[in-house]
Amino acid sequence: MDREPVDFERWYERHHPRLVASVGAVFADDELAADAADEAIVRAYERWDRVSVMASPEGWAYRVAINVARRRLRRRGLEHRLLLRSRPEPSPAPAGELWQVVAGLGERQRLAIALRHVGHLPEAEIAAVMGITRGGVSSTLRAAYRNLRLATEADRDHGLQPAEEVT
Amino acid sequence: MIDLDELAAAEVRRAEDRRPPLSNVVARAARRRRRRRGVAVGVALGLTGLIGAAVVTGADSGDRQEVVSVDEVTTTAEPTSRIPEPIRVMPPSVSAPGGRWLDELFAELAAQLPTISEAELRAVVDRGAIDSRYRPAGTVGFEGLLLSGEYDIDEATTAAELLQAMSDRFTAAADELGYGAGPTPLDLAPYELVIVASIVEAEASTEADRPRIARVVYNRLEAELALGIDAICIYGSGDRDIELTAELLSDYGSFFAAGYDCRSGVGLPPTPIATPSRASLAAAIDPTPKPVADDGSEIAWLYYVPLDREGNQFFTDDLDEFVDQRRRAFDEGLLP
Repeated sequence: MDREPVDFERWYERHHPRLVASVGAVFADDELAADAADEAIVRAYERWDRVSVMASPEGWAYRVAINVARRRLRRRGLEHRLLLRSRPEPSPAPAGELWQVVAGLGERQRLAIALRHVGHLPEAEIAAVMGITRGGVSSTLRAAYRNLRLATEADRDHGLQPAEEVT
Repeated sequence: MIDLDELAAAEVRRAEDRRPPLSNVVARAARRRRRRRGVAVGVALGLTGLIGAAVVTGADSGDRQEVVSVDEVTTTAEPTSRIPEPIRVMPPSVSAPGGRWLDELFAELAAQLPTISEAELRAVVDRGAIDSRYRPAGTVGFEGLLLSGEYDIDEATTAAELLQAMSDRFTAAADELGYGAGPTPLDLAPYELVIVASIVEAEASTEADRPRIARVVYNRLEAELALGIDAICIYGSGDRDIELTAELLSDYGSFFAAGYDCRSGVGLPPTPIATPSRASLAAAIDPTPKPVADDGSEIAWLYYVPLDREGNQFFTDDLDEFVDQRRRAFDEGLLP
């Protein structure tokens, strides 16, 4: 393999906090975020032979963490319905200010914001994590910035191109 | 003005302050899985702490379904303080199911064994403590070279002894089936036959279909067509739960390990993709012969698609027939 071997521990130290912060910003739950990030890290660790040679091990970890969080939420809702017959307790919102800013956005826009500003993923990888086109990422981010009234400076600062297609 | 990058950086710093050591993360995940595999059932039955829980643990090791875990209902925080680990006794044998990825196999073995952990099993392979004549020099990992089945153990069995026994049984089966000598389909090397066997294991639901699926693999290799088998892409993605959407596959490089491109890559993947059974090893070296048509020509099946609820597949060389049956399979709920 003509690639530098990546020291897993260093990779973990760098990306675990970003995974936690990203999932937290999307689902507003610190505990769930830590849990999902842990699970993604452990799966990467166990399958490092494959994950380390992917073009974007980080993007892989974000996708897995987000999916784990979604499944946990679904299951939590189901368990509460089945066992307690009550609505799930709302989790305390994360203490961070980022959540307070993005709280009014939809999940998809929060995810795009998290992957761009917390994960610093390039647009192509955001598209792959979200399972949408690159044009879809541009338009989702633009809509999010507009909702946050950041349109002008965001477009300038992040060099967004006009959407190639709207999904 | 809101600066998203600054807020995000603050959020990352907050997460950095709470970041546990890697070893804690790994250990906690192992505990969570073990609990999910059966302890929760023991707790629900009020068996915690009783030896009886040992019987429950591992009882469902044969399936990958997620058991609704009591600890996640009662508390979402780290639950070790509230739910004690049950006392577990060594079973007389362990079951190594076919079709699993190596790390999944280790998790399932460890769930049945009170004295051997996932980490120990992984360490045995990582430090090269077991060997196989069927492992070409330079191969990364040990995927596909342990045979599925039941293995007798006792209190003194170590992780290395168990895995070596699984490797030895693989070698004995492969030798007996003619992997070591003699002609092979398409003159493939023994390790390549193992890769085919692992694909058969991942794909076949019935015994009769194993040699037929092997036949399709060989026909597609011969025709230099991409294998088109999702199980290969899923292996390359390292994520059982992945949805192979067109968007994801169109950007294959990002999220898949090189060489496991099931849609456009031609040829076999670089390693086996599952733990094989003896039946799949047999199918790979002795595939179903090509059927002969009325005019005497050979029919080279290139496609298979679910046929019924018993898990049988429909095999054909005709794309239109395949598309028709595929639509039927969707309509009948045989395909998701």
